[in-house]
Amino acid sequence: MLGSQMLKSQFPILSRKVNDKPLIYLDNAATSQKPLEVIEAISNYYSQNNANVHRGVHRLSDESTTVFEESRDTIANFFGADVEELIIARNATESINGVAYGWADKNLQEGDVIVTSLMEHHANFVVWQEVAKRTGAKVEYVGVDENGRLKLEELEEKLKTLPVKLVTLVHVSNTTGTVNPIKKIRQLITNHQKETPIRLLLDGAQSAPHMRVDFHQLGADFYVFSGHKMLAPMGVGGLIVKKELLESGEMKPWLFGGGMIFSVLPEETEFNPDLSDRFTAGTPDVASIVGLAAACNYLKKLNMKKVEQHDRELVIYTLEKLQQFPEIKIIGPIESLSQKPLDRLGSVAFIHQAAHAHDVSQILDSEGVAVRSGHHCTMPLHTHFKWQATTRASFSVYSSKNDIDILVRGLEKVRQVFKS
Amino acid sequence: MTDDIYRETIITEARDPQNYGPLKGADINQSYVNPSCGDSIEVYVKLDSDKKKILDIGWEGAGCVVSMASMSFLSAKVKGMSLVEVNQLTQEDLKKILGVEEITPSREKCMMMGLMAIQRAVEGK
Repeated sequence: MLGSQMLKSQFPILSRKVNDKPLIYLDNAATSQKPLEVIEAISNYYSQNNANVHRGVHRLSDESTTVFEESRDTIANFFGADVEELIIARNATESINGVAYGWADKNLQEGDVIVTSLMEHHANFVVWQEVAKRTGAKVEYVGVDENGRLKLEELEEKLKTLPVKLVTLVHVSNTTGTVNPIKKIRQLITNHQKETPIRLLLDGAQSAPHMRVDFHQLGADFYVFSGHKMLAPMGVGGLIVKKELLESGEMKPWLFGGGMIFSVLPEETEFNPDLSDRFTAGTPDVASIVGLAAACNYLKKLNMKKVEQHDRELVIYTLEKLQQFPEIKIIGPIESLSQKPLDRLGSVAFIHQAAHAHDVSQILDSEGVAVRSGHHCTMPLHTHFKWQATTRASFSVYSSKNDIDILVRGLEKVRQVFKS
Repeated sequence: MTDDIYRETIITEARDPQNYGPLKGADINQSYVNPSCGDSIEVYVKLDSDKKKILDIGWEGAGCVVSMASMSFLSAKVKGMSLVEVNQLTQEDLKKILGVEEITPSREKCMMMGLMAIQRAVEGK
């Protein structure tokens, strides 16, 4: 386990109290807290380096350009990607929209099939419904079994029988915690690919904070993430695109204006041949990008392998503790608790048989424990399994077994309040 | 606030709500969903012959203690009320009906769900 007590001290917000109790923050799948290193990096940028990037000759513009470019290098490197493959966006949602406008709209036509799944966050659902309206492509959904795993046989059947052009899946589910078997999925895609390549998009919003992601090893064509879920500020995240798609022009810019051009004439504009610049229209949010790079450095120092191990231990500990409550039904893979490594990460969501999720989280809040309740932006999954709403505890590097013990005490209070 | 909400009276009201179930001969039925949690409610309203007053009400739904107790108390309160009066009910009135002094922004939606459904049901009538 990581030294969570020491880590907690590096996150200023974690020392505050809620309802006169120490804050136990277990809502990290929604957003993580930020370490002082990240907060200071942003603050330093504004107090020391702020100027617009590129094309300025003065000192501050040079400094700003340098930290901007260094930050991009750091972020790309964190994900095992080349810097040209990284497109900065506000978050995973905006990044998926980027793939929709920059790739899907240009490459899909009537009759083509986009395959996604029932376990997707709305960000990886609604965007494709909209693409279908624009292009005439059809969206097909892969089902999820009782244990919260993708029905791979359904995916295979679709790949075999339909003109699939894109498979777009969550890497780690924000509701079931399931880690999808990407190697197997890539293999299935490769096995059934005909002349036209089938592209694979992974929604990494919940994998980036918890596991080592090596884009070149992953087998995805697109990988999207949100900085704010991995200790960075809100409003910055990114899209990583395989270089060949950028070089061939299969993936095109979808935002236009200053910064992304090579030359502009009244009749015609030539886009910037530099791949990074081509996808950066307008002044970038340099301070947030600097903050994201600081978060990547912070996680790298902790070592993502250790972060993943820490997270798995917390997940297992939570599953074991919650299993002691007969009134609680745990969502997602659990029957394989002894399986190593367990194919779930990041969070544990559950249904309380006696109390609604809002009531559970309100009572937990009275004990200083922050969890999330509702449908976690996975309404199709909730509807499919007839879960009205679930309560979710989710972790970060500073989460500890002691936090889970306090959560458990809170759940005992829920039992008291709702005793029949 | 939590102790205020999770009083015996509120929990009991939510567990054994008044006017629960569909209403035969209702003039209007209206559903309402709280998009932040997916909770839903359906109200059935019977009006007087002038369509100016609520004669009877029934409702069904699933939700948290706050939304269920609030809807239950409210359903008793609106029987016999004129539509004008129903449309004038506010968040402050609901807090009084529910017997809570304060409510956080996130739970306001739960408390208001029933009233929203009723007001929508009688809208334009």
